[in-house]
Amino acid sequence: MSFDGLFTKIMTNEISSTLISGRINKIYQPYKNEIIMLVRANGKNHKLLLSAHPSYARVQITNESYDNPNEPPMFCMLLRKHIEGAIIENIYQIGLDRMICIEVKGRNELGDITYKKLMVEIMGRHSNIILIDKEKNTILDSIKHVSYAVNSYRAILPGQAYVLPPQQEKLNPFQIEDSDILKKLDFNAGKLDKQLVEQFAGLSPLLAREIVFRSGIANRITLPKTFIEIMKHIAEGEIQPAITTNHSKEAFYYLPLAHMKGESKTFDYLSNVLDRFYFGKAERDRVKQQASDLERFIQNEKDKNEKKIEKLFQTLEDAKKAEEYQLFGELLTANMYAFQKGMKEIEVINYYEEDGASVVIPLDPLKSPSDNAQRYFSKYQKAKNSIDKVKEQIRLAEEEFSYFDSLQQQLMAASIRDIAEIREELVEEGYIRERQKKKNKHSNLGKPQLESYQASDGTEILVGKNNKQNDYLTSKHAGRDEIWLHTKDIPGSHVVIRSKTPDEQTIKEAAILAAYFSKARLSGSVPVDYTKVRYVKKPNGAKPGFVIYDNQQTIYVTPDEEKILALKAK
Amino acid sequence: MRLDKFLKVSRLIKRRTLAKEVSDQGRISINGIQAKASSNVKEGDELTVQFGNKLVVVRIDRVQETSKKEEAAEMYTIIKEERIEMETEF
Repeated sequence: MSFDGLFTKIMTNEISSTLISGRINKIYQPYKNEIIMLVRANGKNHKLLLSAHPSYARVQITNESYDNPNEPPMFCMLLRKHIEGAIIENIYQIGLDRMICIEVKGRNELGDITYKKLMVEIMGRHSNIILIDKEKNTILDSIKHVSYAVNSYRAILPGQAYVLPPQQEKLNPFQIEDSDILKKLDFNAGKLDKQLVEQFAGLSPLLAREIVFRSGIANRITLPKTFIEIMKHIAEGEIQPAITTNHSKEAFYYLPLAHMKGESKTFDYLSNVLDRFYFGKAERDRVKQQASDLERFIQNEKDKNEKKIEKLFQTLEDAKKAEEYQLFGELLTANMYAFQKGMKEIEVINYYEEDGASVVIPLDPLKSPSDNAQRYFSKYQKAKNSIDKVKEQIRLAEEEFSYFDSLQQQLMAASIRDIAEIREELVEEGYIRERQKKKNKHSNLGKPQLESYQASDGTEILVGKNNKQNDYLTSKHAGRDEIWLHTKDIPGSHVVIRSKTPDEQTIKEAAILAAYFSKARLSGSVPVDYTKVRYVKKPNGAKPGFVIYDNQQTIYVTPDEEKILALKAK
Repeated sequence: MRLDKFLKVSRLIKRRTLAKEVSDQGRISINGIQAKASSNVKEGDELTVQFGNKLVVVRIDRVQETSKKEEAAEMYTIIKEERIEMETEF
């Protein structure tokens, strides 16, 4: 939990210095737990993000853009009614807890001035955003309702009086001296970091571990010294926001974390750190939720086709016995005199072999000799004819398999809009039936929206993130002589450079995009083919997104999220 | 007609609930006498409505049960409209 009390303190300073006396112009609720407020302050627009997400709860100024639902949720409309157009008067933290209060002054329908408070409580699963009438101290509404049945201490329901959560009796780390620390800690008990968290307000286990680590050998002299030093830095605003990465672990904080023994990347503002850390996380969560049925469906189809292919190969193997059946049929015809109805098998000389070895032919005892011979001939015919059919079936199954494979990849990189398009595509292909839902005016998605990136020399690069977008990009949108890229033999996005003669750097950047938006996102040195759009063809009746191309060249690149972020068009 | 009803029909105030609330707060006077939501209004009466940031004086020209958007404005004439200065500017 990096977003601790002290982090909140610094964040409060950061947002209050930019937003106080700003006007809340617009309010959106892109996801269930996130509120975006467009605030104009000091001649500039800022996006304030308030999140009550169970795992990503936070407050920050963001530069990311979010897709808003067609119909704003209830809480969003309520906020618009009460605080749209209001002026932010004050932003402060409650004690050293993870609670930020935003006080606003607005006018109601009659034009009377009203004062409201927006309380953001960050406490893991129970994070909440609450709108409070400042004069009456009653709750107007909250993003999550909590009844007495859930919390006996206080209910968060409209109309209830607002009560702060119970205070923890901890020492304020900014108003202590060495002796206080020594008094509170038992150096013989061990687990100093846990003791620190228990005794001092605003400390997270993460910072406590960092303090202990930085003290070196933690004893009565070094530990208080480090502790007070770090607090002094924070109080004076000497912070260095950073993301520290160590193998699979990633953590952000307002100072590089030495105890993680990993690489640190520093940023100017806390908000930048959060933007980077939470990039796409909330959205991916929501996409996962919305697309879970599709994901399951696609996996099922893949498995089904895989089994089918296996079975077809088995059939093909069997068909190879066709020659043997023909031989049996001929030998039986030649030896028709030698056996009667009722025999179970017969041993005859195979005169096709040079050494004239004999073979044993199994017979159907219920059939006459000529019927037995005919039986082998018809078996031979059947097997011979099946080969073409089976080969055709294998081709179809393989096509379908790779189609679903590519869909699976697209699902991983999809935004909510992309999901809707993938669903529509599956409906059009007849794989799933249209959802029976209320007639929605907005259901027509219109032209696919392509994702746009910018190469370092300013050339536009377009990326299709599902088959609809890919088809639209390659066969409609792109010019004939522009450069088209795709990962070689790996399912992935179509990428087009909007230039006829891009330089090498641009091609490389586009190739990185193609590799990133492919199944090989996590691989190194991914082969990416590029060719002119004119050489890319869509065979008749091919699955959506399927193309063939020639005259290609291949480039090897390693996908890198940092670079993708840098390419993102401003 | 009831005062709150008139305020709503003439679209001086958007909702009946709100009109009632405003009237009961004593922000409106008819011919200089403080009114209630249930006070009666008739043609020729002079209403003084005190909004949060402006003071509006109107004379009632017509009283009718319902009104179309275009007609609503014809139900009264504005005699005076002045902003109330607040200590802090928005």
